[in-house]
Amino acid sequence: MNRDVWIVRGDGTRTPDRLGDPVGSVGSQGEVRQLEGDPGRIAKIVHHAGDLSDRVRLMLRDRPGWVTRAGRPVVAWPDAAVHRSDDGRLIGYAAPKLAPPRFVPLPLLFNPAVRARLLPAATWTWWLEVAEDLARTVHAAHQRDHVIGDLAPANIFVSAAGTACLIDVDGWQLRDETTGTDLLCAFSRPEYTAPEELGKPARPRDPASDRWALAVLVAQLLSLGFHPYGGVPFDASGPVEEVDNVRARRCRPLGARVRAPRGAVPADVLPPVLRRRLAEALDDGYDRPEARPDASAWAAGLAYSRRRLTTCERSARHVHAVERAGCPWCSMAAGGGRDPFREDL
Amino acid sequence: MQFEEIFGDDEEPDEFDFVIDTHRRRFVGLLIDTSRSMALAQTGGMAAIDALNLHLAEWLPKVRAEGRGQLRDVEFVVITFGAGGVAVASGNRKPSARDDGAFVPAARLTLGPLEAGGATPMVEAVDLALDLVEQRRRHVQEVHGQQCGGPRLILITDGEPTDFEGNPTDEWRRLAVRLQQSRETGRLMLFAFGVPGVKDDVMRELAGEEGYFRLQDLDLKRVLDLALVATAEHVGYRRVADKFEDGF
Repeated sequence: MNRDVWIVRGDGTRTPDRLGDPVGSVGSQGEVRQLEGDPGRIAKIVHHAGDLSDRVRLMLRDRPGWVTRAGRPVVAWPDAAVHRSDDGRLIGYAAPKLAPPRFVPLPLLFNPAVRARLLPAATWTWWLEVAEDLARTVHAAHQRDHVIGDLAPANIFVSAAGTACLIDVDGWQLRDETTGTDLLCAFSRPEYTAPEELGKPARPRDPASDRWALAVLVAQLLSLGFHPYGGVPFDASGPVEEVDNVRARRCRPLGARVRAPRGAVPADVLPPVLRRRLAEALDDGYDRPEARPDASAWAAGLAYSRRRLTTCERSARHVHAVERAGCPWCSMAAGGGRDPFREDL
Repeated sequence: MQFEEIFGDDEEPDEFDFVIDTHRRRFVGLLIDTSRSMALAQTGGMAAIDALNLHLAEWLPKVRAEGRGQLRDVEFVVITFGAGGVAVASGNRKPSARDDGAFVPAARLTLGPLEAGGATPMVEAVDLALDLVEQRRRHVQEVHGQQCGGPRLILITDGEPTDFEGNPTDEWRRLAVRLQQSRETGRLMLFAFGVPGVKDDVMRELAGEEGYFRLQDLDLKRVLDLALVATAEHVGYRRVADKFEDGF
């Protein structure tokens, strides 16, 4: 493989660089490589994307101001095109690198053992903050008429300060403001895909499809990784995945009776205001996408919920909604699961 | 504000307990041909089986590292066919689908050195893998309340199916029917990687046109790298084919 590349910025300036070691997981869409000349940036090599040059042109034409907030990135927006140095072929783009100790991939923190080491003092507040920050970013993207499409934990990095940053902008449905046309989103993970898009070929998506994914994500974040469409129906006779429960409208935090692991966060952990939003998004909004709360409504609900927290008598780290009758984290431990906010962790 | 402690690259998260901490699991069966030809064939100046052990020693830490994140929900069962007949090489090395049996989380996957010898009882090995992943699915869904998607089998071979005596057998025709049924009703995906010596027509019948990847040379490192891609979530035949066709 020829690793020598040209990094070409939006203003046409070119610098030579070299693709370094792979970064991230093997199964990722495309391939991410460290740029050897700049430790703070990566190159994403995009396999077989027919509209790559249009995408890169669009992404580079204006690097939007909204992708940073308070001096930190909320979207790892591409800042240059990457061309092979030998034949000049466009193969991908360069973007800021998100890495420890500032950022880690969200799925890593769904793992309790990793979380105990990386964020030993975190409470449920941290999850509310991440969800709120994510909702604000989704709202900002929608205001620019973009649709994120593959809005899923694998495309989200988080910081210890409770902020979120989206990656893989090349997979978005991008709006070309000069022509008013969209470059389509080619793929989204089924367990975050709105019912109206499930199993459909690539076609223009409405922001309401992101609102479905955001509702799923908020519920998952506040359940420390347990997907709202997790759980196994009692009469299951074959493989069951989240998408099967989506199709059957079996949503555990909205009251569906399913078999769940002993260690699952209680189904009623959400405060009333967020449970209402969730019902609007996933129940009313199941076949009426327009009923789903927009991202700013989620951000407001999460901010409100953050101001209505209490701690239980047993532990100052047992933070939960004031409206909840008992401490969910004590009830997890009592039910044979593990206390996710144990003080000795 | 920064994260407290980051894992070292060489640190192995063997303390991680996944039994209750995730709402889902996925099962990957890795089936490795350890028949006599793997001792006879040479690559890079050594026997193919030695090369395989060498590459596995580099590959396993990658799997364990991915087991903290992307492969957190994955449990492996590793089955060899060749020396010793059909043998479970993972977990407690017994053909058991119970907890602490043949299946181990990706973060804890280890293997002893593999030996080559004997015939190529591939059909029996695949049958065993299909039985075990189905038993494991039932156990995990019913006892642990965790979702299980379709299993994946990854088959690596340099030969054609034989009986335990080494005689060619047609049993693979029956297996092809079973595999097709599992694809249709059990969401099975089979990725078959053939290296020189493999019987292409048999593999195409078993894995289908899209699930069969034929390498021109005995590049076992590349096979294992592709196998890791095939293990990742939401990766289908097409994505593996992309990686197979150009490493770029």
